[in-house]
Amino acid sequence: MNPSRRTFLRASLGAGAALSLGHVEALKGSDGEGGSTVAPASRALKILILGGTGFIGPHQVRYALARGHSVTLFNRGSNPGMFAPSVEELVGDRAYDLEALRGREWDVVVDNSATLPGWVRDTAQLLEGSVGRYLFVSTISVYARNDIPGADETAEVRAFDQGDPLEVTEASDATYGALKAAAEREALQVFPGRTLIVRPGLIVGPGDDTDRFTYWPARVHRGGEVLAPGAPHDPVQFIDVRDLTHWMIRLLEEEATGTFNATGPHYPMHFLQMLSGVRAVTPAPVRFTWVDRGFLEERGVRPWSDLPVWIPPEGATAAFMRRNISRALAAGLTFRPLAETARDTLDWWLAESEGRRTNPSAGLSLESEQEVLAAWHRTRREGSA
Amino acid sequence: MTLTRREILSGERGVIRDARDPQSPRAEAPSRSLRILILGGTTFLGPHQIRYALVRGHSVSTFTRGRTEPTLFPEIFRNVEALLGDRRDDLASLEGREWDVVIDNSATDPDWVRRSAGLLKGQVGSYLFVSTTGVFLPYRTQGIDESVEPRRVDDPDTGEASSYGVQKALAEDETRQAFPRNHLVIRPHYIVGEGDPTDRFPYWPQRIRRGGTVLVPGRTTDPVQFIDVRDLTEWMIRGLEDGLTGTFNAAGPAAPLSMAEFVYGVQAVTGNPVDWQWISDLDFLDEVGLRYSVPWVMPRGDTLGMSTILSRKAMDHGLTYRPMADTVQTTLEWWDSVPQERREEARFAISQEMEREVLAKWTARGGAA
Repeated sequence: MNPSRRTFLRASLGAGAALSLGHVEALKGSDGEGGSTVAPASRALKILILGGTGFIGPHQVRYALARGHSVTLFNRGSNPGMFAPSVEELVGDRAYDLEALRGREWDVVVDNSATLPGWVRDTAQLLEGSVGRYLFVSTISVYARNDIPGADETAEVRAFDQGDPLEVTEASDATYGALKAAAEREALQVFPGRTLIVRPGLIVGPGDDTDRFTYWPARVHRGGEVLAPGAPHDPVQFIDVRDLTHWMIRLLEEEATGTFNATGPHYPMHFLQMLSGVRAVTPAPVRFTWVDRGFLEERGVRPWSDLPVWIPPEGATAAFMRRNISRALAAGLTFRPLAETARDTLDWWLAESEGRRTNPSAGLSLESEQEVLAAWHRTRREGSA
Repeated sequence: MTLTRREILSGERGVIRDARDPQSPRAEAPSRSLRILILGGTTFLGPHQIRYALVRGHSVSTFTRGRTEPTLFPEIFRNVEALLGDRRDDLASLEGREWDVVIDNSATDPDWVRRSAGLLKGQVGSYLFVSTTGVFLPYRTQGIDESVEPRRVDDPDTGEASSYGVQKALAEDETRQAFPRNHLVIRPHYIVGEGDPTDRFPYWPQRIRRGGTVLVPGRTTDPVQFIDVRDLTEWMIRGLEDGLTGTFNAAGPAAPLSMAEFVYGVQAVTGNPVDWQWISDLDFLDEVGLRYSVPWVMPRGDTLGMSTILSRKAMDHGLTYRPMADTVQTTLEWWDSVPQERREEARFAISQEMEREVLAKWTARGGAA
């Protein structure tokens, strides 16, 4: 198994497309920050964001604007006017139309949207003389191995073994990590000493279109017996989209360069702690039943997709949820309390349309979950008889 | 966004903070205004009851000795009629007056209830007696509901009946006798939240927030119970509005909560790293004198069933619970606002010295994973 962001971005496209406007509208007014004020940065930056209307983009934009920066978006224009009139919008296509970027200058470019090394090469080459620094948003999925606890940024990344990565025109679940790793190299090559690479783990929070972390607050809020996967002490890592994006903007202000893992929190968290925190934000009567990994496997219940956020700490994924983040911590990454992430995610989710909420992109249906639980209890009774 | 009363009360939209805040215009007014007399209650329960009652359009009289200056929500007492007297021997100021309901917060002696209930039975519609789940001491069974009869005597041989729980049980009887139909007897578990005069519950939020190596007594699965003072008092007032009668346990939360879920839920609010040191060896804890640290109580012997009290009946009659994170957050904010002397001299069940010593002893013994 090789869980990747790509897998679920793709999986959610069908359900997400028609509803994305509603979700954008919901995000527009609030990112769950409860009206807290943000101090302006000492120097205003001109920021170009490639992409910018997906999940992390709007959080970057709002924070950047609050810090007094100016923001230009470059994308295909499928969500126009999201931040009008505060943001300049340029329309084009990463694959074949970068015209709108020509002859313009920015302090920094934030590349959220590149899954292909060729895209990065092309934009980086075009912007090389007119932009100061390049932030490439990579992924924790670049790593070749996920079984070494506490592995840091120096760990080996995946190699692309199907020819020239620059020639690839479409990423697949299997090649996603290797292509992102190759894309990192393109940025570094064109912007030597001026590249900032952030490798986020699972990004969660209001606006998440993958429904992975969201599954848990949504499920717990429904109450009753909840299937808790694996063992209570299975490790878990994820990062609140606001912690991630705000830190990115601050890194740009500080002219930081280098490569950073970005997941959290800043202490080892296990699944029981995560679920306890989620439970704490809802009044729902809940009982967790921990169902072991082997049983789930036998029943064909898959980690990550059926039981999101959970990756069994075994075999090749033994340390998937144990990445070292010391470098990011030293560079100022901070974390809001889990209760805030859980509550804001749930508030956002409950405000989504019913159509959206009844067809989530990840997680077992309530019926399937209850079936698995019933089977689990039967097995346990027979086992003890 | 508007919430219906049903949504607010049922918690269907429960994550929306302060939906049930009495100051919120979303808390719908009741159909009729009540005249409420509160016996005692200037410290903890009372101010919460009064605040909610006033917002809901009721009028409130208090009856106290006048010795305690309210420190919790002192401003609301301007809108309250203060009657003076003494539960033991001076009820004169209650004579000849009428109220729709009386709330008895302060009686620990059945005799006080007999006097006040006896005097008021012609003058008030119903009598709410605030009892305690302590009436079930010794809690020798799990899952105690209202069908379990509290003891009325400590020692059947001598007739001794002076313990807190027995006195409260006898006081309940006085209430039922004076108001055979219109009594409301509510038995709260540990009441927690803003204004808590005990240093019990604030321990965990402030301790976990301080971080470092935190000693947690008990097994991760040990059950814990408590009730947020706002959930309790708001339900009391709504119950009086609705003419609720009978006897009710009132423990929270709505479904069993484990000690692990509790401390990790607190950590989810404070958000800081903690080095957890669980000590699940109950014999060891007994030996070092660590038998409770609210909400955890050693689940054996006389406190076996103390944290598995059933409140189904209350829930069926309108008791709802805030999310625990709300209780923890509110408690922390309030704790930070109490005078520094109180915080410095807090009598926690686990003092810093005790925590250090117990941890050292545990380590010396080889500890356990």
